[in-house]
Amino acid sequence: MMNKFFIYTICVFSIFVILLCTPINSLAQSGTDTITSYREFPLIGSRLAVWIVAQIHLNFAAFILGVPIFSVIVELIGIITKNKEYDKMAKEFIKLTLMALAITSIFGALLTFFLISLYPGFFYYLTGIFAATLWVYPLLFFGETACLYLYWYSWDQLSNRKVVHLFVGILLNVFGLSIMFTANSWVSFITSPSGIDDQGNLLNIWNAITNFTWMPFNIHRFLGNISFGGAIVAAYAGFKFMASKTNAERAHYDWMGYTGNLIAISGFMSLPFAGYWLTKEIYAFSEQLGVILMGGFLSWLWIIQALIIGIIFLATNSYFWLGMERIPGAERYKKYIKYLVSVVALCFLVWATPHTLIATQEEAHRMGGSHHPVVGTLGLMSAKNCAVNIMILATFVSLVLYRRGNKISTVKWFKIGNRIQKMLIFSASGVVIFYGVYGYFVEAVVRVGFSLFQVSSVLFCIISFTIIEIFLFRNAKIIGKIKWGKIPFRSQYSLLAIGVTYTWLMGLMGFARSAMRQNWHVYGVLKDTSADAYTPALGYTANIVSIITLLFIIFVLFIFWISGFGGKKKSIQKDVILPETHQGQSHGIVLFKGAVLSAALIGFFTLYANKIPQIESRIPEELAVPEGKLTQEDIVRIGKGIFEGRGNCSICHLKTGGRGPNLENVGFRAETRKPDMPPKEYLMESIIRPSAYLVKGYGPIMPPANKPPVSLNQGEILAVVAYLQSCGGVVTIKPDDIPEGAFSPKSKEKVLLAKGDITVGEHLFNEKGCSVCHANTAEEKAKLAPNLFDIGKRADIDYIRESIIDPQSKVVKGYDLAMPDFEEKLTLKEFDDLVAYLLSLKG
Amino acid sequence: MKTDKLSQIFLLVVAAFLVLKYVIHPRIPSSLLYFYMMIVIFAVFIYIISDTKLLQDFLNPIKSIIIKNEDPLIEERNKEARMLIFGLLPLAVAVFTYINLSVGTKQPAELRSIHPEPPLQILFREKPLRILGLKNPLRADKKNLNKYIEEGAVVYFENCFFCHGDNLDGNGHFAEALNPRPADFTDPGSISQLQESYLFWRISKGGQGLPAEGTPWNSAMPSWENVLTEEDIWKVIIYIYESTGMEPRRWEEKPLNR
Repeated sequence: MMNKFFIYTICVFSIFVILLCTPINSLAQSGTDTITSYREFPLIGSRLAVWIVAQIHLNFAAFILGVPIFSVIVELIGIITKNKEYDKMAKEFIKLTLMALAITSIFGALLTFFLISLYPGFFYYLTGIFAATLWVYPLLFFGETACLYLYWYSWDQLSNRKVVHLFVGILLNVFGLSIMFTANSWVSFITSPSGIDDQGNLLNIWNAITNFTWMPFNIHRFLGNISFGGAIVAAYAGFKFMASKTNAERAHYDWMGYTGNLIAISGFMSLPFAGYWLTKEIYAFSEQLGVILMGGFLSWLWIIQALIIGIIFLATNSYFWLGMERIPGAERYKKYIKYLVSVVALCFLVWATPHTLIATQEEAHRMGGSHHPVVGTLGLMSAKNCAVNIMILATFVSLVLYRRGNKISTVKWFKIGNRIQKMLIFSASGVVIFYGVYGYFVEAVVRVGFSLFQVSSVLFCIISFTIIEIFLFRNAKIIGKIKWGKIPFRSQYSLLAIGVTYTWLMGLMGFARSAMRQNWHVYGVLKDTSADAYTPALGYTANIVSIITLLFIIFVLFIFWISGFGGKKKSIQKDVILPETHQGQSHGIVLFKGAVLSAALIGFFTLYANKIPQIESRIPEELAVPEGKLTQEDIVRIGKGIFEGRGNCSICHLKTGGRGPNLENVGFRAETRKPDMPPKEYLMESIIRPSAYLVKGYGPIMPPANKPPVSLNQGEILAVVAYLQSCGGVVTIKPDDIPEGAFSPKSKEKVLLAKGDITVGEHLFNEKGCSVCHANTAEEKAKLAPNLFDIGKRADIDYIRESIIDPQSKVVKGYDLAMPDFEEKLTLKEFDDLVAYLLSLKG
Repeated sequence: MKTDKLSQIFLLVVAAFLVLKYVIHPRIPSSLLYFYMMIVIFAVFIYIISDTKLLQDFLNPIKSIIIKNEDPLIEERNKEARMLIFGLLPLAVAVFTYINLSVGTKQPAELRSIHPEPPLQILFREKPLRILGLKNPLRADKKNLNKYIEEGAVVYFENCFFCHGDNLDGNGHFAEALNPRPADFTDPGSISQLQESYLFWRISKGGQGLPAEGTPWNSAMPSWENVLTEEDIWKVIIYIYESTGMEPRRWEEKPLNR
C-alpha cells in the first residue's frame, strides 16, 4: 500500500514541478525565432505524437473525472436506501479511478513535455495568456488527489459516519470540476479566442477564460465524462460478468453493468442538447468556424458520428430488451420491441443521411446535382434534429418498459395516468416533428432556434413522464424479483461494444474539435506554420483514432488487471460455485472474444472512414507572382496555376478523359502535329481559336480563352502555352516574351474592357471631331470641353460610355457648351474603339 | 402456411432494398443505397439478437441445413439443399470478387462538398471585401427594392438564365450539357441555407474560386468578377431570392466580446 502511494506522490509532484516550470522554460525560447519554434519528433512527427498523447490523456481524464461524480451519487442512494450493495459498487468504481489516476498524470505530463519541446512557440504564447491559471492548476490537482485518497482510504473507517465521507466525495468532485474548467479555458481559448487585442496581446484574462465556447465545452464535457465513465464501467462489468465463477459474482456484475449502462445512456441522451449549444456558440463566435465544422470538409465526419451514435443507441436498446429476459413478467412488453426497433432504425436512417452525396458523375447528373431532391432534404438540420430527438424518446420508452417489467400498478388511476403518459410521448413527438417540418419554411437563423423547442419538449416529456411513473408504481405488485445474472450472455457484448465504440467516438470528436481550427494554433490569432499545418483527411484520422482506441484499451486492461490483485483473496468464499456447465469462461477466452469484437468494430469504423473519398484541408496557398525578373520555371508554374485555376482548363481536359483531349503529352504533340508550324504558334492558335485544329473525336465546344468569362491576357496565354509545352515537350517561351506586368491583377481588367482597338480609336477621336473641343495631351490647355488626357484614370468604362451616348447626363462644371449626341454617328465597332482609346489615356 | 422467421426476415431485407432502390425518385446513388442497407441489416441483426426465442427461430432453419440431422428422412431432404448451398457459396464469392475487381468504364464515385466554407475575405477587382458578416448593401435601401429586383432580373436574363433557367431551377438551355448541373435555386437545401455574401463570393469568383475542400470542383460556373459590377451582383442576388421566395440566411447577431 505504502509503495503505491509513493509512486502516486512522485507522479503528482512531477506534474507540479513541470507546470510550475513551464513559463520559465518557454521564456527561454525566443518568440520571434520562428525557425526553432517547432521541433520534429522522431519517426512519427510532432503532430502525431501530441495527438496520440493528448487523446489518451483526455480519455483517462474523462474517466477519472466522470466516475467520482456518479460514484458519489450511488453512495448517496446507498445511504438513503440503506442497501449495502450500492455502497459496495460505489467503492468499486472509485477503485478503478484510483488506478487510472497515475496513468492520467503520466500522459498529462507527457503532453506538457511534448508541447514544450515540440511546439515551443505555441506553448510560449499560450502560457503567456494563461500564466495565472497555470499557478492555480497544480493546487487544484493537489486537492483532487488528496480528496481521492481520503475518499478511498477512509471508506471503511468512516462507514458509520457516512455524511462526512460523502462530503469528502463531493469535495473531490468540486476539485475535479475545477480542474476540468481550468483546462477547458485553454482548449476553448484556442478555438474561440477572446480577451485579447488584434495583435493577440492579453487584455483581460477573465475574458480569455470565459470565451464563447468555454461554458458549452464545460457542460458538454461534464455530461460526456459521466457518460463515458459509465460506459467504461459497464464494459468492465460485462467483462467480469463473462468471467464470473459464482452466481453471486455474476449477479453483482450484471447489476453493475446495468447501472453503468444506465448512467452512460442518461448522460448520452442529454449530450446532443449540450452539443447544440456548443455549436451555436461556435457559430456565434465565427460563422466561418461553424461552417468549417459542419458544412465544409468536416461534414462527412458527422456522418461517421451519426453511424456510431446510431450503433450505440441500437446496442443500448438491445441491452434493455435482452435485460427483460431476467425479469419475470417482462414478456408482456416483448411485442413492442419490433415497433421500437423500427422507429430507432428509421431515425437512424434519417440521421445518417448525408447532405452531399458520394456519387458518380452519371448518378449526380441523374439526380440533378450533388444532392438528392428527396433524400437530400433529410440531410438538413431540421430532419436530423427530429430523428435524434425521437431516437431519444424511443430509447426512453425502452427503458420505461424495462423498468415496468415485473411491476403491476396498484393505484386506481392507473389507466388515466398511463393515458397521460402516452399523450406526453406522442405530443412530444408531435412537437418535434412539427418544428422539424416547419423548419423548412423559415429562414436558417429561426430554424436553429427551433432545436431549443424540440429539445425542451423532449426533456419536459421525459421529466413529467418519470414523475407520473414514480407515483403510478408506488407500492406496485411485484410479479417476481429480477434475476440478476440471468441475462443472456450475448447482452454483455453490447456493453463491450458500447465501451469500445464510445472510446472511438471520443477520439473522433477530439479530432473534430482540433481540426476545425485548420491551420491555426489559436484560431485567427496564431498561425500554424509547421510542416503539419494541413488537416488530414478522415481516412487517416480514422487510422489514428483506431490506434489511440487500441492503446487506450490496452492501458485500461492493464489497470483492470492490476486492480484484480487486491480483491482476489476473498472472491471465492461461501458463494455457490456454479455447476461446471454454467461456469463462466476463463479470462483468456473472454479476453479473446472481447478482442475479436473490438477489432471488428474498430475495423469497421476505420474501413468505412477510408472508403469515403478523402478530402484534406490544405493550407490556403497564395499564388504569388515572384518579384523582379521571371524565370522560365516561374512562367511554367504560373501557367500551371492558370490551367488548373482561373483558366478553367482542367474542367474539361482531364487525365482520365473528359470533354476535351487529354493534354498529358501535349508538348510533344504540338511539336509534331503540324510540321510546318512552330509549336508555340500552334498552341496559341488552339487557345485563342479553339475550333481551328480540332482533335478527332472532340466537338467544337471550347470557348476562346482570351474572351469572357475566362479572359486571359496575352501574357497569361503565353504562360499557359509554356506550361503545355512543358508537358512532354521543350518550352520555347522566354521570359522576354511576356509583356510587362502581365500577371498583375490590374491587367486583367484592362484586357477585358479594352475590347476595341486603341489606334483606330485615336484615329476616330480626330476624325469624328472630338478633338475639336477636347484636348488629349497634358501639354494642351483645355479647349471648349474638358481635357481628356487622363480620362482613363479619372473615369471608368461606364462613365465614358454614358458620356458619349448621353452627354447631357454628365456635364462637368464650368463647361456649358452642350456636346452633340454621338450615339447615332458611331457604329458599335467604332464606339468600342473610341472607348478603348479613351480608357488608354492615363495621363 | 406460415413462413419461418428466417424467410420472413430475408424478405423484409429484400423489400427494404427494393423500396430504397426503386421507389425513391430520382434514384439514389449506390453509395447511399449501400449505406442505408448497412443500417437496415444492422437494425435487423439487433432485432434478432434481442429476443432469445426469435434468435432460435431464426437460427434453427440454418442449423438444420448445415448440421447433420438425426432423423434420416429430414436428413435426406436437407442433404441436397446443403450440397446446393455449399456448391453455390464459392460461386457467389467468385461472382462477388469478379464484380468488385473488374474495372469498369465508369468514373469512380466522388464526394463534392456543395457548400464549402467561403474565404474570410476576397479581392473583388482588387477591392478587399470581407465576406464574413457582409450584408447586401442594397437591402438597406428599402424604397428602391422593387427597382433593384427589376434590374436584377435584367442582369439575370442577360447572363445567368442560359444555365440556371427561366424558372431558376437549374434547367437552362445549357443545363443538360453540364455536370454537375447548374444550381437549382428553388431547392430548399440551396440558397436559403446561405448568406447573401456567400452567393456574392460564388458569383464573383465562380468555379475556379472554390477552395481545395470543394474539389473536385468541376463546376462550370464562370467568374463574373470582371463582367458584372459589384452592384449588378447584389441586384441579381436580390432578384434570385425574391423570385424563388426564399429568405437569405442572416448573420448571427453577436455581442462584441473581443
